[in-house]
Amino acid sequence: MALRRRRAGAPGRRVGHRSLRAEPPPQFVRTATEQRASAPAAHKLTGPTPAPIRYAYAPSCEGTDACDHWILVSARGERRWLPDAGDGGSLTLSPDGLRAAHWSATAGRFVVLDLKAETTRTLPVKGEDSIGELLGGRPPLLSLDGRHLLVQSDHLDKNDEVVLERPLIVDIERGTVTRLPGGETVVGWTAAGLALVRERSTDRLPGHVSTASFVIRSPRGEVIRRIVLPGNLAKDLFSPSGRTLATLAREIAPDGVVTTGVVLVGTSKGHPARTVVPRQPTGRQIAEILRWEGENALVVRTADARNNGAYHLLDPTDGAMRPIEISTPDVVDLPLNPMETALVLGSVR
Amino acid sequence: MPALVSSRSHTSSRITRPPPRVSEFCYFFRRDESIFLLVIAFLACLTFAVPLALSSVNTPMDRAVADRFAHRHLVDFSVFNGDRILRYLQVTRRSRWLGAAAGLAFCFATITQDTFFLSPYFPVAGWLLGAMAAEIGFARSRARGRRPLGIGSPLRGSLSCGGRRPRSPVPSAPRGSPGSTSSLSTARAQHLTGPLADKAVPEPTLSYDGRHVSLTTATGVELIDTRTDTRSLLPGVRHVLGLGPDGGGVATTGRRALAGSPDTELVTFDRHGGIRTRVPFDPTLSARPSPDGRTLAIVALDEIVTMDPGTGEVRGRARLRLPAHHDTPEPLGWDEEGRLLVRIAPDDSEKGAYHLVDPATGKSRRVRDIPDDLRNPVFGRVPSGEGS
Repeated sequence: MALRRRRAGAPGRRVGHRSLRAEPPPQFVRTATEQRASAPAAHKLTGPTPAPIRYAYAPSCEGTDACDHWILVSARGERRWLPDAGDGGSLTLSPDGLRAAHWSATAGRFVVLDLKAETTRTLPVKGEDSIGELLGGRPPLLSLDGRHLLVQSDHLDKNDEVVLERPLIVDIERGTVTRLPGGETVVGWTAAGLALVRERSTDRLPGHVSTASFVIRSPRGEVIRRIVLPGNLAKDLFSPSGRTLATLAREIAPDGVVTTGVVLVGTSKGHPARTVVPRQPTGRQIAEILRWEGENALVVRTADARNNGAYHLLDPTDGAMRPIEISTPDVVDLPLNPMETALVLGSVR
Repeated sequence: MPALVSSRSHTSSRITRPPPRVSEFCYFFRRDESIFLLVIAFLACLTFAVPLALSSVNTPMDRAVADRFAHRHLVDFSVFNGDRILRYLQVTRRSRWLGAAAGLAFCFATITQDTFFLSPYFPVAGWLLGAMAAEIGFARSRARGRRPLGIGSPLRGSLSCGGRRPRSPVPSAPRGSPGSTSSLSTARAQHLTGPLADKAVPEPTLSYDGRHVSLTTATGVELIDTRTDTRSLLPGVRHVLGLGPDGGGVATTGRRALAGSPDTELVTFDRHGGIRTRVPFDPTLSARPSPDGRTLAIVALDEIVTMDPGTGEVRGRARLRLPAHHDTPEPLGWDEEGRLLVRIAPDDSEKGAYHLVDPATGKSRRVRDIPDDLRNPVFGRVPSGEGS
């Protein structure tokens, strides 16, 4: 839902951390034979969007205003570029595709747009320079109902290690900010609140050396629920109800990493409830589980042998996979800035 | 040879005409009187010399010979060159013996109507020619990347000790070659499988004493006692972590996995393939059993944990005292003092560095005599470390 891209080093754009960006990073240029077909022209967003936004992306073009801003693509295919949402900043969409939050270059803060009502709210959170998602930064994240925004800044320590600062939850309606405790890693939103995890060493769990202590906090930071699972499940994604975790089982085979299935773990007992064997498109493997779509579907990113990405909706009941129609002929897709960090998903139904 | 000498004295007593002139190194015989002895001598050659030459292919090479060779040529006899030195010695020895036997046999080609010559020149010349042929053949086979003369090329990974599968350092097996083990002390290959397709090559693991081997395929594990060639099956196991001296070992029911993957099972088994214990196990852990199979060392990013492989219980943990590094250190083997060899990716270098870690304290010592550019190295006896 909130994949952020960073186009570091490009002229006139917000750049990443100074210590890493003292010199422009190398840019990989596509040769003429690799150029893709041009995208339909995007118009400036001046009113309510005609339909929920399916996805947004940072374009790879030059010469027009649209090339410097995030482009929103509705479920009906209309393209609108978002004023004040420079493509060097962060953007996130709500799962229903009706809200967008982005860093505003003019305000120097995060703003939230109600794309249906055409209203904008400026949030009391400054957008600090981020190291970028690829290097360990945390993209902002709208809650499932679009009422709260998670923001987590970062900085580099003296050893150039990325240090994530304490997460902030912003109540968009009230404009209040709640700072969560440090030391916990954000997992994602559930309907009840934000799920976080802290890994701890343990000597009490046979066959393991660590545990994953999940905690679900309300937007005001209160603990709603605690779940302790084996440490190898620390990367799992909570379903909206918080009852199920989804994880990608991947083995290290002699010839590479092999995906053996999607494992659903019940949070009440911590045992794998079911392993889904996805009916993957020929030549593609699931590379990443992005989020739950409701309680009965998963949004996944697949990749072929050349790591060309695509997006699918996985039905855990039977493993069926349906492609999510995404047409981004001009999306940024560079080795140091891959498409998955330049594309943000909204409503995929 | 003694038989020939006694035959000569016996024959010379019957000579009635002046003997032909012979060199001091040659013996001559009247053909009509000594043909029986010649046949005896020829059979003696066949009986002793040729089998001796041929048997040298499979005769265990004395470690002292290899050490003496290494000392004479000022090279260190190590796990990195030991197999090559042994192969060289074996090939040259075989060729010399074959050359000497051929030279000896050539003596019988000198039989004329009245005499034949039994000269040491022929065996000596054959010996030297055999040595030269071995040198040339060995050099040519190395240069072309072929296997050494007549020596079974080790299957990819067949020399592994501890379950790792080498890729680059050990040459790949030719298509359809059998899996085998090679004794580094004797340079003798022992085939464990028939010819295999590339995709059917199992993942081998060797016990630290080299006696027991496991071959892991997609269907399970085959345990082999190389001394008795007894075999046992261990179905349901996907990754052998290590074999103990008794042929039992530690394994998991799944491969190493990436973060997020659910539990597999940690199993211990006996040499007959019987499962002794079975406990849940985190497949993302980087683990290596001790040589005796009684302790499992687990290396995390910043600590080393020892675990009972039978119960999965943590016995102890210590903070790793290693130079700044990224990624989890990779456990590779053990030294004789019970320290674990790990490879780290130092922050200040693009090449790996090797350290011996004390599992009890986490203290480490840099090992400097291992090349830092090895890809997927496999270690047998780990060399001792030097102070960093």
